[in-house]
Amino acid sequence: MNIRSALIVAALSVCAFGQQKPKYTPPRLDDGKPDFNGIWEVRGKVDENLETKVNGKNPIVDPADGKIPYKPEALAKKKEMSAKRATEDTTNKCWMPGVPRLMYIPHPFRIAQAANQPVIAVLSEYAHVVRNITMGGEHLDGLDLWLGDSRGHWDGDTLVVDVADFNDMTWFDGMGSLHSDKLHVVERYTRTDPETITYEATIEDPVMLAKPFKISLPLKLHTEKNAQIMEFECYAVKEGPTFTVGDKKDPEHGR
Amino acid sequence: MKIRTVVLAAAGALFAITLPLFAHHSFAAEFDATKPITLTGKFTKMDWVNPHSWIHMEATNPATGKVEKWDIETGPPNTLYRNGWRKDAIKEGQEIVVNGTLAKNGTNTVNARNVRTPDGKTLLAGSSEGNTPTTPPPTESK
Repeated sequence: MNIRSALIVAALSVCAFGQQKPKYTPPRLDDGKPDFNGIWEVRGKVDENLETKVNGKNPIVDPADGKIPYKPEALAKKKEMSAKRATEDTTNKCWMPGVPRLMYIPHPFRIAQAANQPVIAVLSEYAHVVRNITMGGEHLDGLDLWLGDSRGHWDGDTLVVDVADFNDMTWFDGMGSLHSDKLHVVERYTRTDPETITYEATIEDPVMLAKPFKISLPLKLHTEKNAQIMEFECYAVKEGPTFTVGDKKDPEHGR
Repeated sequence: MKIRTVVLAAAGALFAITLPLFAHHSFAAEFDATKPITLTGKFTKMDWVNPHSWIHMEATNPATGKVEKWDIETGPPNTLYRNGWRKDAIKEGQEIVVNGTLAKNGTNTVNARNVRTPDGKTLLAGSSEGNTPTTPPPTESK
């Protein structure tokens, strides 16, 4: 090898080293939009504690410490709720889990999307929750919703969903991580490989949080044969031979 | 053939690691990870309900030596189904062996990891205990 070819090889190696993975081109619907249809689910126990590393990574990517940036008084409240989480975790009561929690509870969901339609639907297996993402339009005014009001638009191949009009009844995870009704979530859904949606959400709550925080998670496609969403009617057991689950948990909110 | 089997097994193992486990409720809040328990006894009935299914059984309490009633928490029906469990898998009066974790509150309540049936099959119970090797158990809030 002469010097010239050695230099060329070196230059090529540097290029290859610095080169990023080619951007994934998602399948598309007839309207040219990326096709998100399929059954998706987060991997790992994200929902149990958003502040714990899952598969070696912090679900919370900003701030860098991976913690929810609560104001001191809100943090105290969170700790109080966390101590009572066995009975107070809203998903143990079969309540709607809110957003973003719906997207990373350990239950699959189907995204149902068709070309040129005004809604993209998220059909969760958890307690037959249906989440309508309305494309365009303004948020509703003056009401509180469990899942908030979802308004979608496209940023290139990314589906961006602005979610507001929340109630203050849901948590971010199973650790008492409450929020106020001023919660505002902006989600970004991007297909980053044939079996992955990279899900990002920026979460603001001027009442509870000192600053916004951001999560980033892979949602994985269920590729097994016969994958389907099944029924999941949710209620506390009222009778048992030695105890009544309804009493132990929350009899008023069983359904 | 052998190499293929090994590759398949390796792929299977990877898949098993990345498969989601049912874990939506706070295992650490209700069960004591330092108290594993094995119960051998008679299956009474099963409640196939959400958010958790329940096995009811009679078994000797290792602490008292007496036969007592036990409530065994498992994952939701869909998780059990996806683990290959069917509603007639266990019949009333059959002897089962439950491996799980004892409740913190002192009652005869156990979170099941798996259940062995008389025909020698082991059914995964969709435990909410952390058993994915890649995922550390959640830290307790202090």
